[in-house]
Parts: sequence; structure tokens; C-alpha cells
Amino acid sequence: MDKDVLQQIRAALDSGPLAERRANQARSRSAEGRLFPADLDEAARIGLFAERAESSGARLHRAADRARLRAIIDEIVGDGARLALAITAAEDLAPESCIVVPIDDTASDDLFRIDAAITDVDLAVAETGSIVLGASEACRRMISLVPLIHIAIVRPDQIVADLIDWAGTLPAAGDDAAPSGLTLISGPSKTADIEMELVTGVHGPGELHLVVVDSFGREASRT
Amino acid sequence: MENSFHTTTQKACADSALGEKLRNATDRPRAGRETICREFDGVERFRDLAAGLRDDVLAGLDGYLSEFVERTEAAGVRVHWASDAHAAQRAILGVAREQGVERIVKSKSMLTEEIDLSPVLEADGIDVVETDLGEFIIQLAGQKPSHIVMPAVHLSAAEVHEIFRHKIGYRGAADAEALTKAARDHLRGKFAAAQMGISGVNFAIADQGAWTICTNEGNGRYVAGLPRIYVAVMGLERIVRDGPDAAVILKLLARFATGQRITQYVNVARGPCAHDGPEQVHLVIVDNGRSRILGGDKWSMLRCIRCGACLNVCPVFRYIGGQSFPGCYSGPMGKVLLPLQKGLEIAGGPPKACSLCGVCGDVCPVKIPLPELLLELRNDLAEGGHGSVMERMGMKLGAWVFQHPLVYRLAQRVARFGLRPFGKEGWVEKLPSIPGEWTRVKDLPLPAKRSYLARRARQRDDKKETPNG
Repeated sequence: MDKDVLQQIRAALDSGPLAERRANQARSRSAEGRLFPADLDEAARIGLFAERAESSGARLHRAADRARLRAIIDEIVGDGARLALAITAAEDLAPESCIVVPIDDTASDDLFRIDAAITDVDLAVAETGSIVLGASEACRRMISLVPLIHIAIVRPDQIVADLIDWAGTLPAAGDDAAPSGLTLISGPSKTADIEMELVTGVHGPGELHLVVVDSFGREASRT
Repeated sequence: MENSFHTTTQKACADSALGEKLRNATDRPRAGRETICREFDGVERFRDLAAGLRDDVLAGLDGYLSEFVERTEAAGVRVHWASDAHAAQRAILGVAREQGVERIVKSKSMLTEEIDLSPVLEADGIDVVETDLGEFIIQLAGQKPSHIVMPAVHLSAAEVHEIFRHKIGYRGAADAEALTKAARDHLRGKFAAAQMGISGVNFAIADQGAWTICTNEGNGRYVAGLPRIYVAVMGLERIVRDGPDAAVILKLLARFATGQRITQYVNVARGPCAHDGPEQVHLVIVDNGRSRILGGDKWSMLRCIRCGACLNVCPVFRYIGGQSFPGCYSGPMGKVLLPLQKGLEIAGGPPKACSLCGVCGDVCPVKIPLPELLLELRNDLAEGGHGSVMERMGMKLGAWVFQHPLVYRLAQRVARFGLRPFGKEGWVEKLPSIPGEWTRVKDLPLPAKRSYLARRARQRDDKKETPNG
């Protein structure tokens, strides 16, 4: 079957109007599609990321250290909320009034009972105000989808300027360490399918909080 | 078949509420595109780049597909090739049967509409649920999409309320927010219970062995991530070379579709996963006429990335919507793609539903020469003897008249006086007998009191008389 389809494509290309282009091996350069230079300085990257993410409907927070981060989370998450965490050594981030629900399998019955998720990110993209989450053992991708609130923690050095810079970080095929899937998230879940009226929180979170934390180290927060 | 397209479009034209909804719905993404594209430092340069990237891939398609398949199989994906719609249906049904699947959730995919997938699965007793809100609504209503990006734009909130009341026992308010919430609650149960998820593919990335699904609602993430088995269906031309190429196409796709910089979610699938994704992943690569189009003179249609920008600006689409078309694609891209896939016998009507304004070509992010392709298809219709004998004779007569100035002038006079009795407010809407065939589908403007040539001759005379004026 595959031989058939591939052979038909080959025949169509060899004898069809694309034969010349095929022989010339023309190569357009996607680097020309860059909108921002890769070496955009950090302050500009953070500013652009914040502006673009907010225009997609995300809520931006800035925390100087871990103590401030905890305070921000406390303000967002209501008392008694069921929290899923996908971030290492972060038990201290959950407010005391919350219940931490461990999720290590997407088949877990608890998955649909969580109210909020706190995750880290692999990368952030300033141009589109996006965060990038790879699949993880803490089910980072699924827990960032199911609840109505997603809080993502971003370090300034994780923000790249252009979508082309993100593409450059994609792991090579065959790289065993590469996550089996990843997701770019740019704002809350939304739709305008009924009378073009914008509604957030269709299937995914209605609130996406992005907290840019300058100093995430545990030590820094404790001193 | 042409008659039935004629009938459905006539009906759509007569429905003024439909036209109003379509124009309201398409105005917003159209304005959004215009605004956001100002961020490009020269949108023309970007369109040229994107067209070049698409053409490079199409010219080496066999190589890129082979590379992609090798990499994705190495990541544990099971690849199925399907030469036509039947083969694709059989491949997916085969997986479902083998795995004992009873419940499927789907995200919006025009390709699965093209291959008419759901009815085949449902006939086998499988529960198939569309999860994109717009698709969910039209599935409940038993309709087909009216727009390739916004499938339910032809329905009002009140109509959606009625559909939800009857089909899912909804008892809440009739506003968009409450209805959306009801769909969220209803579909969460479906996501949790499904054994298989089916999605389309926005584009595969050859050197990654990965592919993307773009959604705003997040249903694509559920479909590709939660059920045990995930099946993706892709048209064989929907592929880019590498990550940076993917980034360029991503930059254009949402900006041209809805005026967003990027869709809220871009899911990149790379194979099965132990804990945060599906256990089993299948990919069905569908030809269904594409390799034939690739070898023909209208191959550039295969550049299409399905953004829907051409639908939003088409003056005809904005009155009739997508449901009149003989297939799931509509607007300018559908007017070209449907006849290429189905043949002019079945889909010869759509290329004629065009005012030749050319705007579709101006807004295409990958510079498909849609106006030229539409003209060529109309030429194919005429050459292939698809038009009526009367039409062909009329055109020949017209050509002869245009080539003979004296006859032309005489004909102008005859038309000026002959058409006057049929005119109403400057237009002729209905003529008797054979000329009535023309006014059946088009209105004719009444000829001016004095012809352009006569006016020009007079101006020239005036100039001669007053050389300093």
C-alpha cells in the first residue's frame, strides 16, 4: 500500500509541472521568517512575553522570589481547593488550606476532580506569549488541561524571543530523552463558536496565570 | 448535480438571516487578520517565503514523507497508507475493531469530513462524539459545517439552545456562555470514557517524525492525550521539512485564520507515552486524489494550509456559506479543491459561483493563485463541453460580435432599446426565452444611455475645439 502511494507521488512529480523545481532542489530559508532577533535582551524578552501573553488572555504576575510566588498562588487558589503539582521539590508552594492531589497516571480517577494545577515550563516564547510543556511523569500536560485554573512558573532565562528559536530547541528525532509530546499554550481555553461571542474555559482552563519568578531557588526564599 | 448546487445556493441567497450571520461572523476574523498582519515587516515577503516553503516540500514530497514515516515509526507510531477514502475508513475501522473500541472522541478535522469517517464508524455500533464546540453543535443538529474554521456560524444562540434542549436534555439559559459551559460539562464525561481519540493533522514535521494539532478550545489536547488509543489522519501534502519551517507556517496559520498570533494550543504529537499520553498511536496518511492533483497543472492548490482567510473575504461565500457546496470544503478554496477531487461532473458548479473579484488570491498566506485557478477551471468546463449548447453558441456569437466593430455598435443599439422594457431601477432581472437562461443566474445592468465609445469620441472632439482647456 505505501509503495503504491509513494510511487504515485514520484510519478506525478517526475512527469508533472514540478519536475524542474524538483531537479533544482530550491531551498527557501525559514530563518527569514524571524520577527525578533534571537539576542533580544532579557528585559525586552520579558516585556514582550508579558504583553503578548496578556493580549491572548493570560494573567501575568511578577515575583522577585519564592516567598512572593507563594503569596501570589495563595491569592489565586481558593481555600480547600484540590491542587495538582507538576514541578519538582515544590510542596511548599501549595497553600496550607489546599489539598494536594498526586496524579501520576492520566487514567487516575482524581484527574477530573482537581480545581487547579501548578506546573513549571520547558520554555516560553515572547513573540506569541506562549509557554511550552513537554509530557512528564507528573502528567504535566494533562493536569494543565483539565482544571479551570492553571498556574505556570516561568524563569526569565527560559523566555526565547521568536517562535523560530523555539523550533530550534526541538529535540532531534531518535533522541530518547525527548518527551513523547509537547504543547504550546498561549492563554486560556477559548471559543467563539456560538454567535462569535468569546467564552473562555471551554475544555481547558478558563484562567491561565503566568508567574515570572526572578529567583526561584529555595534558599533565596528562606533567607 | 449543477442544478442541485444552483438550487441550494438559490435557497441560501433567499435566506437573508443566514447571509447576515455569515457576514457578521466573517467580518471579525477578516478585520483581525488585517490588523495583526501589520506586525509583519512586509506581509508580502512572508507570503512569498511561505509559498516557497510549501513548494519546496511539494517538489520533494516523496522524500519528505519517507523521512517522516521512518522517524515516526521509530518513535513507535503505526503508520497506515490510504489511497482513497474507503481505504482510510477501513484502516481506522480496523484499528477500532481490533482494539474493541466502543467510544470515540474526535477533534475537528476537515479531512475526516472529506473521507466521511463518522458514519462508517457509527454504522459499526461505535459512539463517535465531535468535541469542538461548533462541530458538536452541528453533529447534534445533523448538519454539515458552514465554514471550514467556524463550522456553526450559521446558527444563532437561540437555535443552539433548541438543539441542546432536544438532544442533550439541556435546561439552562440561552446565552453563549451558559451553552458553552453545558457543552464543557457534557463532553468531559465523553473524554473520560473514550477508548480512542481521532484528530486531523495541521502539519507533520518531517525531520522530527512529529505532527501538530492547533485548537483554541483544548479539545485537540484531550483527544490526542487522554484516550488509550490515538489516531491521527493527515492529507499526504500536509508536511513541512523541519522545526523552523513549522514555526513559519504556525506564524501565518492563526494570523490569517482568526487574527490571533497563534492558536491557544499547539499540540505536538511524537508517539506513544508511558504516563502523560496515549499508549498506542496510529497515523493514517490519505491520498484521495492528492497525488493526481500534484502531477496536474493545478498542483499549487496543495499549498493550502486551511486557514479559511479566502472564505472570510469571498463576496459569494459571505452570502451562501458552506452548506450549499457539494462537499465539506467551501469558499474559494473549496471551489477549486472540490472539482479537482471529485471531477467537474460532480463539482462543476462551484467554480462558476465567483464574481472574479480576485480578493481570495490577495489574502492567501501561501499565495495560491485562486482567481487564476478558478478561471482555468471555468475554461476546462467550457472545453470539456460541460456547459449548455446554448451557452457555447452564445459565447461564440459574442466573440464574433466583439471582433467586428460595426456589428458591435449595431448590437449596442439593439441592446439599448431592446432591453429597456425589461429594466427596473437600472437592472434587468428577468428576460424571456433563451436569454432568460442568463438572467436566471445573473442580473444584467441596463446599458447606459450613451456608450463609452460614443462619450469618448465626444470628449476628444471637445478637446480639439478647446486646446487650452
